[in-house]
Amino acid sequence: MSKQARQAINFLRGRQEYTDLRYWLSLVNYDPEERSFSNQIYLVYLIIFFTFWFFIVLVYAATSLLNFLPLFGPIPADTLLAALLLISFLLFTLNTLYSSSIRSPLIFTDEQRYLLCQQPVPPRSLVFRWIVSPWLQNLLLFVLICLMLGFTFGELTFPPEEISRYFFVYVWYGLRVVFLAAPFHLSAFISSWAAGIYALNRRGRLSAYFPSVIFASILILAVVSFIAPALFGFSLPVLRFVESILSNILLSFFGTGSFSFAMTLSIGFGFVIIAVALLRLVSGNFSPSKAASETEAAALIAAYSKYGQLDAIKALKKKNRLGLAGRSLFSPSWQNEKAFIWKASLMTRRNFGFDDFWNYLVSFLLMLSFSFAGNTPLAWLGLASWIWLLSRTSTDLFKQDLSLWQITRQVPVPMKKWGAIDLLFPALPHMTAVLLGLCAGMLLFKSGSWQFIPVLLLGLTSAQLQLGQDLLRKNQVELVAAGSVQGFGLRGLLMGILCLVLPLVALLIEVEIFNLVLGTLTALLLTWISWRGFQRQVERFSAESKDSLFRI
Amino acid sequence: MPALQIINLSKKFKDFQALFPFDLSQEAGEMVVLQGHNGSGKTTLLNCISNLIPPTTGEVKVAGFDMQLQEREARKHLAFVPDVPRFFLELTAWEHLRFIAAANESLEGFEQRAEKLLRDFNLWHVRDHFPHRFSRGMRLKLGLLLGLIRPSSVLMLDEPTSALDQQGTRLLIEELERHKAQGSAILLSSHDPALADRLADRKIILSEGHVRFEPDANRQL
Repeated sequence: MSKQARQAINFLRGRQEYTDLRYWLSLVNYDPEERSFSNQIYLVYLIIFFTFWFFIVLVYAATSLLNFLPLFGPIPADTLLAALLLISFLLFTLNTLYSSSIRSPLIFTDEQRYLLCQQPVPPRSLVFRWIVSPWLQNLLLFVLICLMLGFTFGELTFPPEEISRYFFVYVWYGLRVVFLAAPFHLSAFISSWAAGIYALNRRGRLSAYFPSVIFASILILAVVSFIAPALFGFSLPVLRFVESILSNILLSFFGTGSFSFAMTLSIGFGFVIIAVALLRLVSGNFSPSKAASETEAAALIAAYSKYGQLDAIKALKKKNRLGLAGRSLFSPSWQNEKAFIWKASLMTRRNFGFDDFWNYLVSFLLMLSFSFAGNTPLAWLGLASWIWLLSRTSTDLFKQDLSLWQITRQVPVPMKKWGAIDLLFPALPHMTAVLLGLCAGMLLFKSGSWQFIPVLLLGLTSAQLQLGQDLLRKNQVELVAAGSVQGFGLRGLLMGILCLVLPLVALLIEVEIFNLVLGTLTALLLTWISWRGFQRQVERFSAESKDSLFRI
Repeated sequence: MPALQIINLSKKFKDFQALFPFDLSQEAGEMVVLQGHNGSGKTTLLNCISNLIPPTTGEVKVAGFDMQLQEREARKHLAFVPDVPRFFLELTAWEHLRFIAAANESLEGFEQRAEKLLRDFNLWHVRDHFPHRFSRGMRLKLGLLLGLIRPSSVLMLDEPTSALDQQGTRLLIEELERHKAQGSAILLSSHDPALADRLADRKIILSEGHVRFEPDANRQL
């Protein structure tokens, strides 16, 4: 039973890993299923090309890093590089440890949840088979860092003109770090999983997280024991022994210190054996169904990320953040289109996060610096990037209402009204930030930035309407009815930027009449043009009957 | 004046004729049941009548108001419950009902109506929950309530019993009979022949986009 179950797990996991590999290879147009000679030649070409490409990039990164080393003064280069490697190792491990502890380290997809997790599979076999692929994925970036640090040491050792002569030794400098660091990385990864499974088995109790906290503390202490004396010249007496061992291990990665290659490798494998024993100990009680229930969202996010479905990821995260229930504190008797304002306020409040606060702050600071810098082409560049920054979230409400076409289309409120509300409501806090920023600028810099207030407020309004009309232009009603909504395109963004910048250009033109009038009139005209354009797009969108690829 | 009048309505997707031209006139207080196998065009027909997707030809009049030319008035009289209702992520069940009532200018007496409907359909205890946490059946029930919370002359429902339990189906039938008695015209699609036989005054059979009327299926309630 156990052997057959192991074979079944192997078969299933192997197929999934192969499918994943096929997906990544398909990105470079290679299909492992095709057995033709030309395809095999193509594989050889790909291997040579990417080896060469990565080598060049890593050598370039190594030479760039070399320029920063003198900033640390008289500290030996191998010690500095060892410290960098240790910090990278710490960050990698803490990240794995954290993600393993807050939810099961084994992530199961929906299909695995129903087909695999319901079966009486041996949990240890499942855990040990499942860990391989995540470890290799995690190792990949770490290997690149190791190679770069090894090459940096090679750059220091050989004069530039001698490197081609000692090419293989130079490459070995990189590979030596990889070979010696990999067992430590593996043992840390396995230990993190062991801590994660321990936490999963005891979820709901504080004691569940003790191993994670202890492991993290040991790691941090070990890193401090090396970094503190190496970089800052002080050490704690109790950590001297750890420092001595760690220092020798790390320096041996670069061929210095008193530990040999074989000795460091043996220590690394010793840690791997201990980690495997720990994982074996805790994985006996591992519950696949419990893990599946915890990792539903993580599996979906991984699948969406693979195909670049950012909207789906955003919606999933939003669902998790919202939780189960909510209560509205503000229930006015607003009817008709005002119902959309109430809905927008409710949705904005529930979606409000640090990102939004950050964007409002950026708007405020940008206006403050605009007051200081004045109406210059460089400031227009800043405002263009501001519109780009805002556009990433400012059409979300409109997009969501479009995706719920079966609700929003049915209510007796014209689309141009609720569309305008959806586009302008998210801009209101930024308009407030514009006002505050310009007023603060006037007080601080004694500048005449008040004249920009109408221009910027109207500019932001027309930019939003431009984004909205471009979003409608890019969508088809039949697809929207099925819940699929595309974002705006480059044209919308450029038009939005133009609507903001053009009135500012008009403010600069030296004419007989007062510049403010000209700038404001330009902004008004552009707002009117944007509004008319938005209305036309709404009419086209609501009444269109053009053929679509979509079939029912 | 018919509650719902459809003249020469058709829908074509690229070179695929999903719905061939047809006419229909439905009186107030009449219940018409739409039947047909999967992919026969039932959902397309209901989507075209409600103008969620624009028809290729034809016109739709709801309570005498043209759906294209007098859309706002027409929409005040038409409620459509789709087969797979979707909801705002950030709004609770109660807030969804309130939003629909407010957008339809029917906030007067909303609290009592909403409470009664939620209690009847066994959703009162989850009124402050977000619908994305609901089961499929609960979501369908909430979708039905969004159609029932507001007044309408014409009520259209797409497969309303597909995910309902026995009690939910019974409640829905009672609610539909009440609406019918109050003079609403009801057009619903269903795969359930027993439900169609029980409720329909008239049946429409859809087959590969062709509409066929069954005048012999009349039934007096």
